[in-house]
Amino acid sequence: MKPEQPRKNSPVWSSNTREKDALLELSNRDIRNDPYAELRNLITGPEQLKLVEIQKRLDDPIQRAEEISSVLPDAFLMGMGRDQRIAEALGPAMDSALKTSVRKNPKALVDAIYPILGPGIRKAVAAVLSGMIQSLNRTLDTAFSLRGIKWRLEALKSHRPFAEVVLLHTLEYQVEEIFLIHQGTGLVLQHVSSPSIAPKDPDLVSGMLSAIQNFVIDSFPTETDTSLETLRMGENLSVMIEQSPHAFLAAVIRGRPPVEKRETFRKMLEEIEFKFGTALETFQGDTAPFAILKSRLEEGLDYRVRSDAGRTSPLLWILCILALLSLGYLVYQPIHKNRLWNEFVQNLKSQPGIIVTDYGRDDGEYFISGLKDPLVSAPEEARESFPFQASNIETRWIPFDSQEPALVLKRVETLLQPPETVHFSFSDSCLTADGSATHDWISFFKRKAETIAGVKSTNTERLIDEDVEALYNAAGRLSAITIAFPKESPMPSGGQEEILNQVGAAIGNIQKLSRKTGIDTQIVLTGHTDPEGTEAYNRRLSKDRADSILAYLIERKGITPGGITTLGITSETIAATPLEKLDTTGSKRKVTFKVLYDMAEMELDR
Amino acid sequence: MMKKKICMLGAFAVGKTSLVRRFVHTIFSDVYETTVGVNIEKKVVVVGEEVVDLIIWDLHGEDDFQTVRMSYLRGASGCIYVVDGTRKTTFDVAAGLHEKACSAIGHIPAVFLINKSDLSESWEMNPDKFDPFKKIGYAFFETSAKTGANVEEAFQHLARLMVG
Repeated sequence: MKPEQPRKNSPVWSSNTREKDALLELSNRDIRNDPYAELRNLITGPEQLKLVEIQKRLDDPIQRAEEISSVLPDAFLMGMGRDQRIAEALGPAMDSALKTSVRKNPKALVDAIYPILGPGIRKAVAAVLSGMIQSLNRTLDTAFSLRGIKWRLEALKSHRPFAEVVLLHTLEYQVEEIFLIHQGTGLVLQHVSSPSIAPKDPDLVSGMLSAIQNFVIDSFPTETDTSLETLRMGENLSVMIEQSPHAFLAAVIRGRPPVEKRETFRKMLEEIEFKFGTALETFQGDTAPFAILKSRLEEGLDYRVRSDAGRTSPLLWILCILALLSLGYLVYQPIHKNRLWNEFVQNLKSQPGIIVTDYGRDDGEYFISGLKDPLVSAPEEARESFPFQASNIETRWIPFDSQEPALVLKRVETLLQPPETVHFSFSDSCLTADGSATHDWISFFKRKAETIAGVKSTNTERLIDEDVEALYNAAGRLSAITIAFPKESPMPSGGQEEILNQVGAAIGNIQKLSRKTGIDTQIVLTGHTDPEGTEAYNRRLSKDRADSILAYLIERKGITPGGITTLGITSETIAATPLEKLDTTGSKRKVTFKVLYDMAEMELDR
Repeated sequence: MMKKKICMLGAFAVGKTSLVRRFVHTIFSDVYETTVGVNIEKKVVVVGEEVVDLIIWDLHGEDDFQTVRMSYLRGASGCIYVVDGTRKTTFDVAAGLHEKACSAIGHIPAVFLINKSDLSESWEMNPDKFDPFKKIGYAFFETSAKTGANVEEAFQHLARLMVG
């Protein structure tokens, strides 16, 4: 009997209690009406209730979700341990979920990957910088060396770029091409090549590679199921071949690749076989499904530079040192300039005659302002102490008279123009003059000095008046001269013209100096006689003798009589004169000279 | 992009390489250069709306001293059996290669080329011999690598068979 199929809306498939109760009621009704139904109910009643329970669980999505969630982790773990199908199945769903999540809230993803983003970027930047430095290093190393010239010639001969020749010589290895070839047909599924090479037609190359494989396998059969692994041409070129059930991967490598390179290709091929196993198995010549493998294969196009090529070029060192020096100079220069500027300002501050009130930089230009004595030279002109070009600094000076002793002295020197025989000293606002000077200059000094800023008093005690000195000296010389007379004659003895000339010159000089210095002088010509004869006679004769000399001087030497006095000396006069004042030298018939400076002395002499 | 592998099979000096050169490069040379192993050439053809890369394996000719390696046929989508119309024994060689190929890789699209049609007056081929192959559907082309007669057509025909 065909089992009765549950109908839509049948109480059997309902999931709620009311429907379950309705089912029981219907069953009871059936039982009441149908003895078979009663029998069926007796036999399968408990199972039917269980079925209702199971159906209820299946129809309730919440309950089903709860049940699945309890077994899902274990299911994933078991599936992942068995093979990669779960990962493959979840991949697109996770991609889609990730895209949706990013579209809805990008910040969440940013926050999640932030901890790895920084290190990742740093690593990438470091790798790029390292590559740049290596490239620069290699270029520098080869640009000017003998080896570099040789390679440049090689590049010219072979019509290849110099960079390519350098790369070839410095490479430990370079994966130039990778072919992914279908195992059964020998047709190339995907091919990638380094930008530095001009690849041949990959279809022809892959076909020939496949033919070579077939040839080797046919010609040199082995007991084990082996295949061609490497083709080598010379020391520098090889083709590394990795096999999988449906494809083989051939990498054309220049140089000597590391052993682990084969492992890299093996993993790459295993991955391709895993992902494209079905496509490879059913391959009928359509290569379109394998187009997405291009980027994956390109990951294998790497190279490694020989370790000696990683040696740092001396030129790079030099460049680095120069760069560091330049950098150091750029850093040091402003510091140094600032230090010089501060030193310069401090020097100015300590310099007499300058008071700095403000300084600094304004719109990049240095400026300094304050008070400056005009006697102080402009600081910007003193190049040995000024660190900058004069045009780089702006000075704003207000003139003033400094009270600094050095500057006061300088001002005194400038204004008084002293003779070389005069030296100044300045202390406690008192200007002291030492040495000797003319009477006129000393007068000028006395008039002017105390009007100079900073000088409050003067001291000339040690300053000698040269004109006064000359007056005294002339008077002394005149006093030493004696004019001799014959016996009883008022006229001098012959042959004394030279002495009389000296007398004339001396008196003229004394008169001139007297006028110049303002010192009143009185020149006394004293006539003398011998004791013989009468007192009256001798008085007259001595006076005549003095007068005759004066007359001679006036007449012959042009002496003006002002300030000149003649005396005749007699025994009475001698008796009245103190002993120490008597002229007792030489002949008694003579005329002597005396210069008096004040009336008291004149009176005494008289 | 569709790629199809074609194998050129036949006795030595029947003109396999010349046919390939004529088809691929549109050139012909009277100088005979024996093929050692295999030469591989490529030609892009259009079949309907499909662009197809024909990878042509020009295998060395078979004679008493060397036989064609059947491993070269692996993965081939089509075969061209070349017969020299001026040498009747070359048909037997082609028939033998056909049999070996079928047993090695199974029945795949193929055409027979009776080459050197420019020397048709010297032909010693009995057309009746082709009947068994014609009956099972193989196409025969009388070609000349020297003049280019039917060369393009033969390859195009095979391409159509392969792409289906």
